[in-house]
Amino acid sequence: MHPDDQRLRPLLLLFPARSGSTLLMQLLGTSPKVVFDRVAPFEHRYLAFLVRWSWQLADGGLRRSDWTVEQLMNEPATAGNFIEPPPFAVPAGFGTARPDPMWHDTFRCAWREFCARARRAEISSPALDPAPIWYAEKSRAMFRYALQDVGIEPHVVYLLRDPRDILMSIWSFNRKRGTSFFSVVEGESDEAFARRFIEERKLRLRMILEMAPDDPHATVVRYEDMATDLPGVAARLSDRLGVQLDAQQVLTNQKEFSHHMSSAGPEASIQRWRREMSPEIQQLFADIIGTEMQALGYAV
Amino acid sequence: MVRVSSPPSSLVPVVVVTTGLRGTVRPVMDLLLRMGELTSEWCPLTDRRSLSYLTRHAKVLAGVTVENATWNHELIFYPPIAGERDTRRIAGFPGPGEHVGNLFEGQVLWQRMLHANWAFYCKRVPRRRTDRFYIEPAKPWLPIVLSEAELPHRTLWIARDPRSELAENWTAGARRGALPRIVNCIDSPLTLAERECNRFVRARLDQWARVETTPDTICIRYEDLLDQTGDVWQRLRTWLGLAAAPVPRAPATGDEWPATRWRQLLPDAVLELYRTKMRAELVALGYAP
Repeated sequence: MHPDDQRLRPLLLLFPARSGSTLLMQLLGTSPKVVFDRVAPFEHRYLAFLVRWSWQLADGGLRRSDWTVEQLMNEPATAGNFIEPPPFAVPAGFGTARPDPMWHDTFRCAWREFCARARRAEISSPALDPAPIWYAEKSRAMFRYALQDVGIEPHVVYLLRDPRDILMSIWSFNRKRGTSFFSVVEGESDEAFARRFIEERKLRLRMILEMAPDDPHATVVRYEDMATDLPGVAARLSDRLGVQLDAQQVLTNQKEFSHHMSSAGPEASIQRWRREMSPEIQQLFADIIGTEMQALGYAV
Repeated sequence: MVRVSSPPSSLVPVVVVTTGLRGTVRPVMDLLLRMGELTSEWCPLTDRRSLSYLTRHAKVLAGVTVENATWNHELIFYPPIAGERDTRRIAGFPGPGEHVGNLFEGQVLWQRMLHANWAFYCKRVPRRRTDRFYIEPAKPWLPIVLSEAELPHRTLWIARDPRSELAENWTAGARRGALPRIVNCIDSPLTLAERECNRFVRARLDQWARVETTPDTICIRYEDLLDQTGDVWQRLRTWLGLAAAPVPRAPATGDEWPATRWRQLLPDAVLELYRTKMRAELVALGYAP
């Protein structure tokens, strides 16, 4: 088999927080043709790690001032030590001025190696298909662009959820645990956070709106569909990805993931904003991203 | 056993192991870079150490789980935004490391990637068609790790009288209006020498004394390189398998530092310290106590 034939195709989930990424990973995990660590909440990001590792050879920059040649030379090469981009002028051998910089080769080679090792190590599940197709990871847009740079076209699944419900879920999650996750700044008023949150959503919603409807490398999955009709989503994704996903298996195991939920269940998490959100914040959504939300089918 | 061998177009690394003192590195590299068939991206101004960097970079993949407050899953995932995230720092995989470091057909990932990256580097580094070697000054850990990865390389150990290095280090710092990096503000030449004797120098002398000339390893005295340049030149060419070539002039030491100047500069107490603490080692390497 040609080494490139052993490569798994990256399947990247691009998602805002609290939009059902863990549920979708559960669903993808029902197919032995999809490789990833089946350890909840499914955030062992091997691909992101290897991209960032290869990026060290990209173009210098973004170094700390205490990362010097002295430090490079005097620390022995021990696993676990930090490394940053070269603490000297980028060597010509890294080819950063060429159309085929070294980090491209480095990443392609590392990815090929990882795929071969992942198949052998059965990171996916004990019953991994002998010929898996996909490697799935919760990801971000920057990793999609990095893969495209090196000539690997990932399939992207955009998770879409009513941003008003996302905001309610974030507040509920933090209240339940006494945390301030998801970029919540302590001392910031609800309204100030909501305004910042909505501004950030605008760009993401536009990205989905601008996506070509027949893009063969991207799929949009709505959280609302997953919550109300998981078998339907499973059937559509199975068809799209050429795998067999089993919604029933996910629904059976739902109790095991109750700690991850911030509402009574998936159905109760839909249109929660109508019950719990203040009119002032509802108005903020309408003013700032009303157009985008309507275009995506969310009533304002 | 690492079964990936470097392609024929790869350069064989020649690792020049010194203590790192610039006064030692510069004349040695000055001579070696005139040999032909050798290339390097190192120069005194840029101080580039591509092979040292690639080796440490590869070692990150060694499969050690690292997860702490300054390195975790979040830092992989989020784009640089603030504090720790505004650098490209990376350490081992913050999770089960076996998948990025595990054995596969006998190869550990970091070893495989060091071989691959060295080949990618050799493909791009500016070089003449006749170049067969890549040369870089390094610290003693580099040949050890290259051997662990089974990357073919040559090691040139440079031995230098520790009293000469101490004197140069001390006076070089004073000339620049600053103390050398190994010196504390309360140090005198004597306390520095004592610390050096106790902690570093004995081990280094012992290391040099045990280096046997083999096809892959050779030990050259810095003083011979300056005083008997012709002999050293021929020895090195024979060791590398290069055809005979005219002997160049002795390399410049940069600041005209003669090999025996330390005798006038170091206080008697310091000289006595070396005599009493490491006479045997100095004699074994041919240095008069």
